[in-house]
Order: sequence, then C-alpha cells, then structure tokens
Amino acid sequence: MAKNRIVIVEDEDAIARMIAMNLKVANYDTQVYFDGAEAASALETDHAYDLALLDVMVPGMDGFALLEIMKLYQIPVIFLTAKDDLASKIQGLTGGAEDYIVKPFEVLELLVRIEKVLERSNKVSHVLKILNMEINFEEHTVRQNGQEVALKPMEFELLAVLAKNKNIAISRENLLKMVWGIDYLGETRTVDVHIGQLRKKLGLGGQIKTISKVGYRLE
Amino acid sequence: MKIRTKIVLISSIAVLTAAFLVNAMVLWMTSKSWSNEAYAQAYQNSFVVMSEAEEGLNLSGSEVDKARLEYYFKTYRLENNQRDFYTVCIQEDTEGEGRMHYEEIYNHTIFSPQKLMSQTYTDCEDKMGIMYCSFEYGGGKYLIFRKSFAQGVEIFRIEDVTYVQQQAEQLAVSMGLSTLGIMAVMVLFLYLILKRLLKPLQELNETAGQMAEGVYDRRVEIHTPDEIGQLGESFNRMAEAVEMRTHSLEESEKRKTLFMGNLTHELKTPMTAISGYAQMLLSMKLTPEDQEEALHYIYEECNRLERLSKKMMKLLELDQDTELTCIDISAERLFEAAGKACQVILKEKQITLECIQQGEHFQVDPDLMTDVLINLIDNGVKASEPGSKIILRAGENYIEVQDFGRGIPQEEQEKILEPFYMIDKSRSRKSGGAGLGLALTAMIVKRHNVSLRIESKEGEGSRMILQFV
Repeated sequence: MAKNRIVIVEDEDAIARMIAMNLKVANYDTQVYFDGAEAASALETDHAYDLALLDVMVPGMDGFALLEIMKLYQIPVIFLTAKDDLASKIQGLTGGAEDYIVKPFEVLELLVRIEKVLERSNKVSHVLKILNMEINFEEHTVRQNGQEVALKPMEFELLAVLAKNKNIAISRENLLKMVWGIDYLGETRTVDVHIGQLRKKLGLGGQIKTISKVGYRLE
Repeated sequence: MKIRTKIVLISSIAVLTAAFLVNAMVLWMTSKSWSNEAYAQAYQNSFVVMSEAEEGLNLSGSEVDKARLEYYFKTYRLENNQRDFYTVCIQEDTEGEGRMHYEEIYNHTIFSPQKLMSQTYTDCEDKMGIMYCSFEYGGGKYLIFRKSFAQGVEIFRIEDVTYVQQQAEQLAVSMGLSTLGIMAVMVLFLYLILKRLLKPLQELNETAGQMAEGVYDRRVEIHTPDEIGQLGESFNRMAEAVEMRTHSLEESEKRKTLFMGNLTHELKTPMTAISGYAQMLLSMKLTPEDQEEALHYIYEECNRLERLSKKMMKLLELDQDTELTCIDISAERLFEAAGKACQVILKEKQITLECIQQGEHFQVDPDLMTDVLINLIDNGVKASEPGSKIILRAGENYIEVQDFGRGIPQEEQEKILEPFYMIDKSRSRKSGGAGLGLALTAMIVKRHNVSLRIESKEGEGSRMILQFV
C-alpha cells in the first residue's frame, strides 16, 4: 500500500527536520517548505497530499492563508504553532483546520493526532502489512503468512498500536491509555503479560523489543 | 441643591433684607412727614376757629353769656356751613376744693367734657395759648386742640387724622407689592443669566464624566476668559496629560505583552526541537546519520537558548536603574575592542573592517559601548555580501557603523529596534540571531542619552549613527 504523503510548512529548520524525521520513521512520505508562498506555488503543480502540518507564523504567507489554499485541494490541515492564545485556536479551528497542536508537543501526540485525522478523512487503508503479517482493522484479524492467528481483543488492539507506530518506543503507561483507555485502572504489568502473549502467538520475540526505561517497540 | 438655586436663594435673601430696611425707613419718614403736615393743618384750622371764637364772643368780660355761646356754635357756625367737631363747655368749681363740674354748651363729638379734660395736653407754644394732644379711640387717631378762655370756658376742637395712618398702610402695601414684583423679575432674570453662565460648568461635568468612563479624547469648549473659562482650560490641560499618560501606559503594556509573547515563542521553538529530538533518540530506531543529525540539532538549539538567556539577562540588568560606569575613552580603543570581538564573524564572510578616527574621546561605559558596536557590526555583517566591507567612523560627537549590504526598508527602520523583531526571520535564524541585538543596542544607547539614527537605502547599505549630545 502507498505511504500517506504529508506536507510540512515550518520555518524553523530544526523543528521541520525533526517532524520530517519522525514521520519518516512512522512510515509517512514528507515534503518540507520553509516559506508559505513557496509552499503555495509548489502546491499548484503537486497537491496529492493526504495531510498538511502548518505553522501559523511562517514567512511569505501565514498559516491561516495557507489553510484556505489547502481547503481548495481538500487537504486536511493540522496547525502546529507556538501561539497558544484562544483567539488563534478559534480562528484556526473555525477556519476549517482538523486539529491545533501547541508547541512544545510530544512526538507521540503528534503521530496519534495525525493518525486520527487520516482516519477521519478515510485516508488510511484498513489493511496494514508489516513484516510477515497482514493486519485487517475492519475484520479485526491478523494473518501471518496467509494463516489467520487467533488473538484476544486486547491483544489485537495492542498489536495494532505497535504496528501503527512501528519503530517508535511507547511507554507502558501510554500503551495502557491507548489500548485499554484512560479510565482503565490496571497495572502496567497487564501490558507485559499481553506483550508476552503476542510474542508467543506471533513469534515476534525479536521484533517486539523491550527498551529499558521507555517501553516497547515493534521493529 | 444646584449652585444656581443656591446663588438665587442667597441673593434673594440679601436683596429682600435690603429692600425691607429701605422700605421701612422710607415708610417711617414719609408717615412722619405726613403726620407733621396733618398736625400743621389741624392746628391751622383750630387756630382760625379759636381766634374767631375769641373775637366773635368777646369772652373777656366777667360773666359768661351762655346763650350767646350756644347760639354761636349751634346756629351761626352751622349756618355758615362750618361743621366741625367741637365740644364747648364751662368749667365751674361749684363745690370748691377742686371738684370740678362741667357744663356742656355744645358737643358735636362722642367724647364727654370730663374725658376730654382728663387728657394730658402739650402746649403748642404760640401766642394764643392753644394746647394739643393726640388721642386714639376705636381704631381711629385724633388730634385734640384745646383753648381755655376766661370764666372757665373751654373749647376743644377734634381733628380726625386716621387717614394719615391709612395712607401709610396703603403705601406700605404698594411698596411691598412692588418690591415683590421687582424681586420676582430679578430672580427670573438672575436664574436665566446663571443658567447661561454656568452652562460651561455643566459641559465640564459631562466631559469629566465621559473621561471617567474612559473616553480620554474629549475636551471642553472655552466660551469666556473668566474663572470658568480658566477652569475649562486647566481641565483641558489635565485631560491632555491624562490622555498622554494613559496612552503611554497602554503602549508600554502592549509592548510588554508583545515582548512576553515573543519571548515565549523564542523559548518554545528551541525547546520543542530539543525535546522532540531527545524523544526520538530515546524511543526510535534511527540510522546513525539521523542520530548524529538529531544530536547536532539539540546542541545547536541549546546554544541558541544560551545566547537568548544571556541577552535577556543583559536586557534585564539594563532595565534596572543601575549606574553606568562612564569613563573617558578614545574611539581607537573602542574600535579595537569591537574589532577583536568581531574577528571571527568578519573572517567567516571575508568582510574587511575599516576604522576611521582622529583621536576622538567619548564619555561612555566602555563594555556596554563595545557591545553596541559589536551588535551593529554583527548586524552589518548579516546584511552584507561576502567580500564587502564595513566602516567604523568616529567624528566630533558621533560614531557610525556603515555597511554596504542590502539596506533596511523604510517601513522597517523603526521596528528593528524592538525586541525580537527580525526583518527576515528564517535568514536571521540561520545566522544565529534572536532579534534581541538591536533592542539591546537601543537600550544601552538610551541609557547613555545618546540617540541612534538609521540612514539606509535598500540595496546600497545602512549607516547606524550614534549621535552624542
């Protein structure tokens, strides 16, 4: 399946590169522009993007003006900005942006929000192929080498989160929140038990890595 | 109570009191002269009667002719149409030892001889020996004239002078009424005049009220050069001062908010980058090249934060009113220090620094002034193409830094001295700026009471001139 393409407009070199690097690891294609006007003119020829990450204060053309252009090409927009005053948020969201993330942000948060926006705009496929597995989110099934593996619901959800964020270590606390929900009062030990089940059932002993002091990562 | 009402009330009371006193005096004097006149008239009439009686009756004899007396008064005088109020009587000491008996001859009054005799009489001091007294009876006022003749004949003539008092009363009433009338007109007039006079006060009050609600651009109109006009002028001056002060406070508040906003932005950006790269290094499987790049960015952003905090500290230090340590220093030494500090950046871009001075001396804080020059040179270097030059020039009362770079657009010239202002953000960032250098320069220059003038033409370069007083 084709990778989702994301356009980034951010004038801070360090941050633009950081986002790009993250998205690359999370299996997205990225294009970075440091200047709003430059991005706008480039979009005229190539606008096959699934998502745009826009800084509000960029030279050339500001984020709010770029948002209008993105709407023309039906590209969903997430604002990424240091401006955390309510007026800007309201202007961004009522203007048609899908989300508004204030700097400084956590990378995992950015990835989750990107995923949610892509899901809302139906730009993710229901099937994710990773390693020798084929995860079908609609059917809630996992096939390994074409052979269906029976997983419990929570084991499936855990695998889905790890697969969607492959190569990214996620802490046990975050896994609890993302799989079992914020209200779940279980211990982080639950995560370890389910990870153990996944490793055993799918033979992923080497691929699901334990990163000390951080959490688990599917490679 | 309104001031208008007060003034009207007070002046009415004053005028009324004065009018009352004057009226009373006039009334007293008039009634006195009237009663004198009435007395004189009455005396005149009595004198005539008494003389006629004396002549006509010849009472100087030894025996009284009662019939003749009666005839004279009852018939003769009446026939001659001389009706008057008389009482004529004969006084006899019938029983001796002062016990008097009065025989009434003629009485055209309501008073008995005894009653008339019992009054106390005053001598009119004339040759005839007429006496008089004033007498009040039943609300009327009368004058009684009396003359004693020989053989105990007494003639009383009574004159009614009640009209004098009535006249005085009428006068009092008409005077009172006219006073009240005049007062009413005066009060009305005063009220209207005061309304007109005090109108500016009303306007002043309204304007002050509006100012209290935050409308500071209101002024009152000055109609007259009197105290109210002066008050208006003073008020306008005060309003001017309040408006200016409020405006400058608002401005400084706005600047502060902007400064804080910019500062948070400047802090957030490197922090986002640092924490982002650190998270990546911690949680992701990165290629060695990416790892190196991440570390490089973390290092760079940390440097940026350090530079920012140093400059911020300096700005804060300068903001507090610490004394500057100004000494007499030559331009040569200042230029030397600045040149040395800028050596690296000059070399990087291969820009030559030219110092022109003829031994000028300046009274400045050497460290701070060197900072100013460094900032200005740094700015010039950022604007210049590689291989060009920058001139440091000292003259009488001025130091200037000239570059031949791209120049500063007219509309940006004022803003570049504001904290965090960058004409071209991405380009400035790449050359390591945070937008604080010129703000710092402006602050130092201000503390030295030196003015910073910018002369710049796009495409030709800029001259930053420090004008000493």
